Amino acid sequence: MKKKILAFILIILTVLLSFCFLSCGKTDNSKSLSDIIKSDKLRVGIIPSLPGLCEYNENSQKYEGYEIDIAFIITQKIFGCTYDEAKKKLVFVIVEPENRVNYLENDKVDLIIAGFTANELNGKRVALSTPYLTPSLGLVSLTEEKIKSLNAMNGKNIGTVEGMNTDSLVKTFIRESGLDITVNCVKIDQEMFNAYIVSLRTDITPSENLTEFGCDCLVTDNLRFTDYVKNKEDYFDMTAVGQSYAIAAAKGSDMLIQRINIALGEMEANDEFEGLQIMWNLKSGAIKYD
Amino acid sequence: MINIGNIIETIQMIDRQHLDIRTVTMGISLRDCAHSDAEKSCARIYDKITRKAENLVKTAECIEREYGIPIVNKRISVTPISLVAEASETDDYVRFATAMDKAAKTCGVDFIGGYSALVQKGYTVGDRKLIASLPEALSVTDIVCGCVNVASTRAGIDMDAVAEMGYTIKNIALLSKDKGCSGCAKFVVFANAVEDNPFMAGAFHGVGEPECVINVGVSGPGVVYHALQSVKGESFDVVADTIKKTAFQITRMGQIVAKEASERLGVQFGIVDLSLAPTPAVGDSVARILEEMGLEICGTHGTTAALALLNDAVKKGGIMASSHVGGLSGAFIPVSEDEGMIAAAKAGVLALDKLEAMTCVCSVGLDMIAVPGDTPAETIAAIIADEAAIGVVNNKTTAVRIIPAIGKKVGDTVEFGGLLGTAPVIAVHPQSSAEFIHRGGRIPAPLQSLRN
Repeated sequence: MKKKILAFILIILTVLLSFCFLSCGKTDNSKSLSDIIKSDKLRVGIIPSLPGLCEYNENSQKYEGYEIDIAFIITQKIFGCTYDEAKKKLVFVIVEPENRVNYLENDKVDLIIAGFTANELNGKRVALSTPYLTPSLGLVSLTEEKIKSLNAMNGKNIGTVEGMNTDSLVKTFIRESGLDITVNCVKIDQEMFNAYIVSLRTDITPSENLTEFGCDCLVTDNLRFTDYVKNKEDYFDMTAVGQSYAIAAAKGSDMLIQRINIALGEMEANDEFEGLQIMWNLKSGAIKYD
Repeated sequence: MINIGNIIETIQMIDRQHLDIRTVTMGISLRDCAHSDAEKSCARIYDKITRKAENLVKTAECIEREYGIPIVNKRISVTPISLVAEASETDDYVRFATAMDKAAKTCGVDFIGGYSALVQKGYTVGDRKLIASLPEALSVTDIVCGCVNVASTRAGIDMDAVAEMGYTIKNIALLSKDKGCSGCAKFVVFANAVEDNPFMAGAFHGVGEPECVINVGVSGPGVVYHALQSVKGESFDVVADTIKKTAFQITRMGQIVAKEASERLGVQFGIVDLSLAPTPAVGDSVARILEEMGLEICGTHGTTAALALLNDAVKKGGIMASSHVGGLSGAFIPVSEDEGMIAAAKAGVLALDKLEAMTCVCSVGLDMIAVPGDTPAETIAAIIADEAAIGVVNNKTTAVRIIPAIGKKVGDTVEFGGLLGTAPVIAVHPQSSAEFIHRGGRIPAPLQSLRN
């Protein structure tokens, strides 16, 4: 009987130890450039939600925008292939802001090209390329009192999207610039925020009135306002405050990031970024007014 | 017995033949500067460098004045930073480069080397972080130099590192494109790197080195050139003998300076590196020495043999003049820094393949070579692999300091200014090496590594 109990305990211990070892071993999710080239596929995570940056075109039934063009150029450079060949190698995977890192860590995508902010916090979670876009922040006033300068933000409640670091960006800028102003930030649900942005241009009334949440204005990347601001008086482009977007890969994918940086560096040297930004109406401050 | 003739000869060497001490380099161990807090580690690095090298420039200038010998550069080399920074809990290694830059400027030296990693058998976490930071580190600092050792006769060639070096060099070039891609001039990839090299960009203070040491690099292609002019038409036996005697004189001077500097600074004497390091000045060229042996132009058939003789004779002469000859000792062939090589490359005679052949018998490798800006990273990596193979199999140091000149094509030139000179952009083979490079892994050590 004792032997049976001992054997049972040993089996349980073996299973537990094996589980521990397996868990310990799963630490490196880095993607090697060689593996990608051998697989002949590049899986890129995108968020098709912003016109000009990345969206799904119902007519052509294709994803299009600045980030999509960059994905194609990166694919061509990595594989040394033509645009037509890149179409076969490039696989788009839809991701959400909340699960982007998870997709990289679990090897569901090789890269994320979806407005990943190049900051210290993200640099600890993923491997980041050099920036491919540096949008400034845009502000839309929600009340009769129009905010048209940084100083005019003093004492105001600014609405920012939940899950983004716009609030800390604004506060850091104010602190580092030595401006003698204070702002209060109100975090707004992403869906509600998007509905409100759509209402800026269309006649669709948002289900929630953001002023009831105490917001005097909305602040986010100016790209989000592209094509949406119908009243020039409501809009203020905070050209001095911005943050860069970078391509993300799993932590430790150093050679892959080096290869991407070369591609981005060559694009910059050839003024390709500027050309694409003009084409997709993403130049800072290039908001269209009716 | 020194006579008046010897004195006049030495004065002529200095005045007319560009004889100089190319560098007095202080090697400093930073192993005790490691700390889990990166900020504290950087502070320790700054403090130690500025404390140890406080009087380096002043002392070198004093010796210069007293002996009448020009000392062109005063430099510092430190422990490979990947070893020091690894203890710190940070991904931001650029701050270490900034600390080095600041300390070196405070001391007033020309360059500081050691932003380096040794990965011939693979990467540690610190090596990986340092290599990833190289493009930014070399673009945000002014006088920091870096190197990576990717191969050795004992370990073979780390082809993953070789591939990454191709990408790193391209990124350094892109980030410094507004400064003529000069970031690449501060970075070198080694096979069989030496621990006591006083020359940049590859100087670092190896782990087997003492706490602090003085290494001296002497030069003098012009002196050898003039000496050979007196033996025109003589046999190679006479040529070799003449070079040996000249090398002896040059090294003796280096030995005196090294001894003086180490005594005055209270620092151990390390080595004298007798390297014929050319400059863009007329009359200070290794290529012209080879041409003086009878070649119409450097790069034509016979160049490799001439260089082999020169390299060997320099070492033989130097070894008798100093108790400790070390570093790279031999003849350098940096294209942009050598007036004769620049001319040969512009004439289309000195091509990359010929330079590679020459590196089999010279003291280092492919040095200061500009290639077209659109050269693929994989081609650069393949050039490094070839050079590493030469070093590993022949049990010698080889190196690659190559500049992809962004926006330039074959026939254009890149101006670096000063000792770095002017580099004519030379052609690379257009055929791809990408598939070869993407295999990754390690090329095993050659049979001659099994010597025990």
